[in-house]
Parts: sequence; C-alpha cells; structure tokens
Amino acid sequence: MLKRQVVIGLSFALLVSVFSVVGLAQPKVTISVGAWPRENEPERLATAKKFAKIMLEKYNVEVVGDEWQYAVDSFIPKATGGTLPTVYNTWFTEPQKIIDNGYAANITKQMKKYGLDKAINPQILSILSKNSKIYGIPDNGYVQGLACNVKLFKQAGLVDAGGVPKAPKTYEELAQTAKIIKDKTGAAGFIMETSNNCGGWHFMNIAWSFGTVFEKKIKGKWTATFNNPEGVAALQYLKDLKWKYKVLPDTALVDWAGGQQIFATNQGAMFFFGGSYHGGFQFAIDNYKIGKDDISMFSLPAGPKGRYALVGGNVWMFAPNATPAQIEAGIHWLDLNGLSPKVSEEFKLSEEANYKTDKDAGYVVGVDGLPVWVNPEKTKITEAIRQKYLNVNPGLFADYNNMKQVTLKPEEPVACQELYKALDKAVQTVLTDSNADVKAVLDKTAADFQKDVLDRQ
Amino acid sequence: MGSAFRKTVRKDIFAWALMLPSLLMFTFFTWQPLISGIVLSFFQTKGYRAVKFIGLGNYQEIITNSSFKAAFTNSASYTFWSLLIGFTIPIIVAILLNEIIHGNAFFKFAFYFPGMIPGVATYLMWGFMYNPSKWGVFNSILTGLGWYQFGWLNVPQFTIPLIVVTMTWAAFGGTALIYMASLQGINQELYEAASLDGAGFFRKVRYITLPAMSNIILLMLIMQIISVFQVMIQPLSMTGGGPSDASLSLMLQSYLYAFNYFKVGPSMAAGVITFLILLIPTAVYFIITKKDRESEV
Repeated sequence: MLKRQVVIGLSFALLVSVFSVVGLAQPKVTISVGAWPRENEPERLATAKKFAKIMLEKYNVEVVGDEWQYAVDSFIPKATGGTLPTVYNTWFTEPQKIIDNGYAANITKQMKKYGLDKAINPQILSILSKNSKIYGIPDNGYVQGLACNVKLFKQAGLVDAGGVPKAPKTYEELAQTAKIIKDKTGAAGFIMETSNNCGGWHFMNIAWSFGTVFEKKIKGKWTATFNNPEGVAALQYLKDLKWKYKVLPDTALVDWAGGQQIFATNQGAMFFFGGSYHGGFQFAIDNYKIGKDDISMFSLPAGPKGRYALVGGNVWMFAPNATPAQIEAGIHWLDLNGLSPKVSEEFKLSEEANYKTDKDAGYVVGVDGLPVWVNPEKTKITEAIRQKYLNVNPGLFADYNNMKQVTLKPEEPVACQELYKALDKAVQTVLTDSNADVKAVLDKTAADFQKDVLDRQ
Repeated sequence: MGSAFRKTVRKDIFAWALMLPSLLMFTFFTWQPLISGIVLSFFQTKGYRAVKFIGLGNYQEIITNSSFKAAFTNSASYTFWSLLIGFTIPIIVAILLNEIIHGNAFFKFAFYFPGMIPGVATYLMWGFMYNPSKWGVFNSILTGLGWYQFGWLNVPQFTIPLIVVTMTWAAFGGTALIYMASLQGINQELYEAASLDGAGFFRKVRYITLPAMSNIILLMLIMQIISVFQVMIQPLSMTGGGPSDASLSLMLQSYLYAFNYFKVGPSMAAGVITFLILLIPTAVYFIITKKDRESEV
C-alpha cells in the first residue's frame, strides 16, 4: 500500500515538474531584423551574430538577419506584400506617414512594461507617437550643424593657430565668410541644398533663426504662416547669398548627395549637415574621398531671432503583422544592441565594435550625435569608448559638440515632407530668378501649401 | 455561352495550352495592376488597401493641386520637343545606314550603344555634361572658346528641351534599328526601276522609301507620344522635377504621391488621367491602321 502511495506521489511530482518546466519555458519566437550588417563590416557582423546567439540562449528567440534598409522606393512594395522585417529601421521624417498608412505596429504596451517610454528624450518620443500611442524606438539622433571644408578655409586664410576654421557665429557672418572664401579660392562659400525636399529641410534652420513660424493651429485649423515678414527676410537672405554676395554654387539643383559632392570635392566650403556618433561623414568619404582631417563642424549660426537647429535621426519600427511576442523579442534585441537606457556588457561590446568599424573605415570618430536615451552614465561610457578610437583633432568638432548653445527643434508637426517640397520650389525660384519678388513667391507658396495640403488634413 | 466557350477551348486545346503561360503573365502583370490601379483611384487608401469609396475625390485632389497644371503642360511639352528633336533623327540615320556599304556593322553598333547603358547612369552622365559650374563638360568647352558659362538645366525654359536631347541620345539607335528592319523589306527592284528612270537619291527616298515606311513611321510616332508623355526617370534623376516644377511631369507627380507621401489613391488617379489622355493617340492609331487595311483589301 505504502509502495503504491510512493509511486503515485512520485508520479505526481514528476508530472508537476514536467508541467512547470513546460510552463516556464517560453515558446520559440522568430524575428527578422532589417539593416543587418553586410560582409564588408566584419566587426559589426560578428557582433550581430554573437547577439543572435545570446537571443536564442537567453530568450529562445531566433533572429534572422535581413540586409534590406529603408528606402522610399522599396518600402511601400515590401510593406504591402507583408515582407517587411519584423524590426525595421527608418528615418525620423517617416514615422508619421508610416503610422497613417498602418505599416507599423503599436508598441505602447511593451514600451510601458519596460519603462522605455519614460527614458526616451521627450522631443524624440513625440516624433514616434500618434494619438498617445508609441510606434518606434529611436536608434540615434542628429542635430544639424555647419560642416566646413578645412582645406578651403586654409586657402582663404580663415583658420586659427591650431588649424581650426574661423567659422561664422551668425548668418550675417556666414555671408561675409562665404564671400572671403569665394574671392580667395573661387569655390562656393556656402552650399544650399535645394531639391528632393532638401531645400525646405535646410531652409527651416535659417527661417526659424529669423523668427519664422511655419504652421499654426488657428481656431482648430492648421494654417500656413511662413509668408510673414520673418519668413520673407529669411528667403531674402538666401536670395542675397546667390545674387548679392554670389557665394552659392552655380547650380540651383542640389540634392543631399549633390551637396556632399560639392563639399567633398572642394567646390564648396560650408553646408548644413547632421552629425552622428557613428559612420561620421561616411557618404562623402566613401564616394568623394574627402579626408576625415579635412572636415570640421560647428553649431549652426544665429539669426536675428535665435539660434535654431533641426534634429532628426533613425528609428526602429515593427512590422504591422508582428505578434506581441515578436514585439517583445524585438525590444530585447534592440536592448541588447544598446537601444535602451540600460548599461550592459553587450552594449559596451556593441559600441566597441561600431567605433572600431568607423575607425577602420576612415570615418570621422569624434563628432557627436543627439543622445536619445536619458541616462548620463550611458553617455559617459560611450564617451570613454569613443576616446579610445578618436581619430581626428577634437578641436575641429568642439564647437558643434557643444550643443547647449543652440535651440534644438524637431520638424514641423503637420505634413512635413509636403512642406519641404513646397519650400523647395520657393528656394529654387529665388535662386534661379534674380528678379523674383520674394514676398510674392512666399505668398504663393503658403497659399498653395494651405490649399493642397493643410486644408485636406 | 458557357458551352460555346468550352467547345472553342476544347477544339483548340493545344493552342490554348501554348498560350496559357503568357496569358497568365499578362493577367497578373498587366491587367491585374491596371484594373487595381483604376479601382484604387476611386478610394481613400491606406497603403495599397482601399479604405473608403470617395468617388472622384482623388481626381479632384490631383487636378486642383497647384502643381497639376505644370505637370500636365510639361508632359505635353516633353512630347512636343521629343517629336521636334527626336522623331526624324532615327529615320534619317536608318536611311543613311541602309546606304552605307562599308562599316555598316560598326555604325549600327555605335548608334545602338547608348541604348545599352543603364538609364539612370545615362542621365547622371548627362547631368555632368550639363553641370552649370565652370567644371561642367559643356561649360568647360564654352569658357575654353571664350564664351560665357550657361545655366543649362537651371534655366527653366531650357530644362525640358535639354532633357529631351538626352532621351533622344539614349533611344534613337534602337528606333533606327526598327526602321532599318522595315527598310530591308522594301523590294529592291523598285529602286532599280527608279534608277533606270533617272531618279536620284532624294527622289528615291521621297517616292519609294518613305511611302514604304509610312506604316512603321506612324506606329513609331504613336509609340513615341505614348512613351514620352509618361516620362519620369529622366526628370527624377536629373532635376527632381525642378527648377520650380519646370520639368515636373504627370508620372513624376504620380511617383512622388506614392513613394514620397504614401498617398496611393491620388497617385493612381494621376496614372489613370495619363492613361485616359493616351487613349486618344492609341485610338487614332487603330483607326488609321484599320482604314489602311481596309483600303488594301
């Protein structure tokens, strides 16, 4: 009898233990991760593979790499076909339209569960949210600054004893400095990007510093307000750079890549550019072979009404068909890669790998990005790792890295891309027509933007 | 009806089986997107999903947009300039190539060569030539000759004709080959007879070559109108539609709606408007060729 009871008791205990093990073990989840490192980035690829192994062991999550990177022409087909990676990377300019079209999963619940909603720089959180719901986790941010071509500044005799360019502090000084460079070197003093929405994007910095307000909610309705005297003064300033000071490039059709080409091939001395912790000036260095030591960066100049700089960056979003388990797994993955306020050994490893990749590739290591996570300890650790791999004269970036001297401003709240497109047209008009009436151009742009876009919101 | 259809299929089952792969491809890759596009143009969209029927709402949005007028007239302007600059060149080249005896293969290859370069590379290369700085290829030549720099694509009045020059450069070789193929089909005895009657080169071209090519010339004319009216890659890669919409086309507008702003409904509406406009030359072509065939009969 006793034997029978022991057998039953043992069987029960075994059953309970089996069930408890089964109950505790999480079912296996598979996620795909976009912007996966390629073979030409061995350090980053090795780290990614190592992290994938950790994900499997620690969370029972299988991570599948997908080298697809966000691009406007391939996003919509992928999203419609349901083949987006579970976790994909995009730019700060995109989340609002992606959310509007239902191509991102709502991750508010998981963000709150891990307290991440409280740890993100609030200005950045607003870019990633809609109607109080969160849809993205920031990867890195940038603040626009004034990139200077050291070679051209040297040729113009505009460097100090330490070889650091004497960069302008105000927009008035920018015109004067650009004039000296143009007169002494023949190169354009300043490069204004004008097309593929870059004209409007860069014009923001100038216009805000001149006091322009672009969009205002008046009686519950969004209204275009940039044809005010401040806006006219800002556009007039650009027109003067072209026709009065004659310091802009000959072409009035300059997109993002074109601007970097003119800068990196010593045909232009200054332009607006967003600094980043990693891959500093990668595009210009890879494509146009400018040396990392020939680049310097400064805070944007001040206008009559302030010193504003646009912020932007990259964000991770989740495929709309991602399950809650996959979203959770994705958050663990991003956490492992350092995208959380936590400081972990893996984060340090990832930062080491990223800075080593940057240094080996000859990119600038020493320029700041915009911290997206509110954690001073983390910033300190990043800085210590960066010091190990520093490969430029820190003086060349000290002014830009001192971001306290500028007011950081996110993009305008409504239909930003359409606004940039409309402003592109205005910028191109005053740069191709020396007789253009600036006020009339801006009045028409504001009226068109109101009718075409804001009235339809 | 059903049984008649079945009977027809059964009768020619082998022919239908042969046609099936291309029919399927045609359905999936041509008709389905076309019909979906037309349907979506009447809906408010979320991505490529139709959310709500809004009738002509997307069309109204497109047509009342401040850039529509520019996009429409520019598309017509591209077509006009392409006919003016590019229509006769391949005909002349084909006739001349047909006359050349030595080095014919070389010239054929040389003329066709630009057509083998990938489109975007061609247009970026022409971008360097048109670069308005003193480093631009054409400006280097101009300043070397002691003339002034020119703004090229930056001068709104010249943007479209200059883009059309690059399109012509890239495409005329391919079109010339088609014309040459039709020239091969002309009965040589006609030329011999004309020569005996004392006709020179130009009279032979006027009275034998051109009439014999008239059908293919008409076809190429319609094809050119249809393809140039849909121009998109060239302004996208060379000017972004600028300066100030001077080179914006209807199809570029459609592309920008879909890919820059994720507004698929209006994008499809722009496509349908283009489609409707292009139905006119297509109908004209069919009417003319039908009349031709009837008169031949």
